[in-house]
Amino acid sequence: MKRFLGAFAIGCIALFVFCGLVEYYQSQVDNNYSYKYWYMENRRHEVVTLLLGDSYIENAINPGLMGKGTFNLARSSRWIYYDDKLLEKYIADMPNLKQVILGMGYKPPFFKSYHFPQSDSKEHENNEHEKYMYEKYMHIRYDDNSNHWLGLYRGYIDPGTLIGNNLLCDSLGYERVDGQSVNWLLEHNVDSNVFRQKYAKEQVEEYTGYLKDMARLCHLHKVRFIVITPPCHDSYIVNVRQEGLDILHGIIENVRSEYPVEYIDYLQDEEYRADSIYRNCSHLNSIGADIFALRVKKDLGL
Amino acid sequence: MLFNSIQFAIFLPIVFLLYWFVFDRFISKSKWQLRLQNAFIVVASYVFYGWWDWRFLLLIAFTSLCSWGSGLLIGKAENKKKAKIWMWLNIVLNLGILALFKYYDFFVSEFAELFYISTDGLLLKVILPVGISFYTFQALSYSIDVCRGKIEPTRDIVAFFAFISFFPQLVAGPIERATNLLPQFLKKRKFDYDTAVDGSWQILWGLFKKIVVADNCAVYVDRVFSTYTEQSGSTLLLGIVLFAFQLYCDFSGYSEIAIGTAKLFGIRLMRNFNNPYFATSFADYWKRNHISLTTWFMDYVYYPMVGSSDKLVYWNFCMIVTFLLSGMWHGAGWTFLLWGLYQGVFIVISMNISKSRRRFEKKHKLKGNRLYEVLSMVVTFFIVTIGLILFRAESIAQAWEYACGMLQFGTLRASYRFFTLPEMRLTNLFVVMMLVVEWLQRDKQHGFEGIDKLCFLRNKYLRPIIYALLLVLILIYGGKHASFIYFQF
Repeated sequence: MKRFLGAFAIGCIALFVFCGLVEYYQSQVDNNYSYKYWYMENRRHEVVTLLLGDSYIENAINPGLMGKGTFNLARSSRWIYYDDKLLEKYIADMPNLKQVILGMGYKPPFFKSYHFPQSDSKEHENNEHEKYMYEKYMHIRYDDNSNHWLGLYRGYIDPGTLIGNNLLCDSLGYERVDGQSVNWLLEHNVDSNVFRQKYAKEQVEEYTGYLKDMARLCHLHKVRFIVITPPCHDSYIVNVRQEGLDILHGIIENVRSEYPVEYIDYLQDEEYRADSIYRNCSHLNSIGADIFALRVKKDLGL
Repeated sequence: MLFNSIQFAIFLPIVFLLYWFVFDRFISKSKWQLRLQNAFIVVASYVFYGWWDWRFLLLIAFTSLCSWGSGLLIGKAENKKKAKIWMWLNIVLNLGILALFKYYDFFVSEFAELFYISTDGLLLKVILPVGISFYTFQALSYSIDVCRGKIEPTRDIVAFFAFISFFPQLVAGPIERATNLLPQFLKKRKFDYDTAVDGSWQILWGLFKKIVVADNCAVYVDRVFSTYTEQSGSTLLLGIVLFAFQLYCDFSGYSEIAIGTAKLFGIRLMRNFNNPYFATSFADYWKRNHISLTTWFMDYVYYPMVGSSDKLVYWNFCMIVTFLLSGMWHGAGWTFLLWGLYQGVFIVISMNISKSRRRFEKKHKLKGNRLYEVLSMVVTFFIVTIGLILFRAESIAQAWEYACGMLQFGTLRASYRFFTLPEMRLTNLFVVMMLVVEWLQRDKQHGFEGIDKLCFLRNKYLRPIIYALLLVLILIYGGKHASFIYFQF
């Protein structure tokens, strides 16, 4: 027994040492989260136009074409909670900020689980990776119980974050994606009944709450708050139901009843029908991102 | 509580230390030592199970009490007939509870749909208690074996409760026999260093299979199955092959962890998997896959059904019925029933052609021929995998569409691109690693057996360090699923 306990003790020490090394290595490796955090900590005073949202914005709007002072703070798979917290954290100390543009895709308001859309889960449990990354690199906790080591213990860390360069965005936060993915018509397609998901109603209420808070913050600091629904390919649109769209527009009207919000719906915009501008059925590629950036700039009068 | 959770990582060392240091050493001279140690196992197991939902602890306690009581009544029965009555009472009661939780809603819904009746107020909509199929069958095996005279009924209720609820195998097997496990709770356990070390390595192997192989495969299987109507035939084939590995690694990984954990407590559980994908025939496959369940059905359903009949046609019929029931055990759904039927039909075919096959092998001197062996494995694997479409599909219609979709060969290019996605390459590598290790260790009990005898691992200081490193790598490269597939059964 002593031998076994001795080996167990050595193993535990080794485990803590390895975990410590991983922790140290992770803190040294740059990635989109750490870079965007650094930018906001050090250069937020330069920001005039702030882009928020998920991959629909991070990959789909080239801030370099939107005018000086535009920064793309959006991040793939982000739940609106983090957009709200980021805005809350920085808006008071952004003297040059004139507008905040938030991307609101058709799907996100209805569920939190980006990896398993068919999941019954109401909780954010499938996004341990994101919780981990926000906590470690942007110092935003999802809830009191979250701990970034849980992300490691439960194996939700993307091993890609531990190896090599994970800084995929440019200096303005734009992550460029070229061409089309494998099965591009199917990737990230929407279930036509997504708004009937088990917890959709509760998700919409929660989403609306965060959206309202963001609108409030912008109103308080006299910043324009603009919500846009990015364009999607026809193969995606064919699964979009009017009932779902009505819910989406209802969210905006709900927020508008209390705070000023500008909204532009590009989902079915005729300018974005070509196959060549899409990475997959719901995300623009680099060609589409350039076109979309110029269009948004023009429509908003930036 | 899941094996691959932080709670279990904290729970296990605490239970281990208390088990050996308090209930073994500290009170070793007490005549109550064994009973207290068993009682501690019961408490720890109930904490383990109750972590999921404490309300169902009453159910498992009730099952344990009824089966223990029935054993005593069977033992005291004046004649065989009365003994059988008590046995059947226990069977009906336990299977009734299982049927209520697992099958009632399904059959009521189907019946209502057939006769256009509304199900309002008829359905129970109860949660299926985790592991109910496993511990119920374990409890039943006790009373049947007592009735058959294979084991004496035990008066030690604590030991019996420990036998039913022993946490490593409580929620997903192996389904232990009383003749194997109960006697271990009736005698003092001794800590054995080599067994504990072996158990530790087995746990690590199980974690690799579950977290790294199964959970990574799951991501792509889910993707293929959720978009199966748009995928090419070759991608669908890839998807179901990946599912075959996902299912095997998920379930056998759990069993490895269960058996390895039991070894830490000086308890030996039965082997549940013996490299089923290296089987050279369908019958051989079922001798290697989910052994505890297969042998349970053979011993308690098939052989009693066959009785003393010598009619081949009747044997075949009994085999199909046995596998139909086995399919139903897996879940309340037509797909599982059909899956069971598929297994039954193919095993009957395999058994009936075995003589002809042996003659063919002898004639062409194929015994020991490596190429023939590999070909047999591939064919068996293919037949098994096709059947898994029914296992994975949500409905018979979906299974049919999936199978038909596989016949449309479409473009291999799309499948090639899918299969060689950067993130898929790692998954492919993990599957290959698993297969290589299992092939090299096919004569051993598990993939990491004897690993501590390898060169640098003989060093007693280096060994735990390497173990910790492998554990960290497993955690890092693990996939994103958390639960075990067989928890739903």
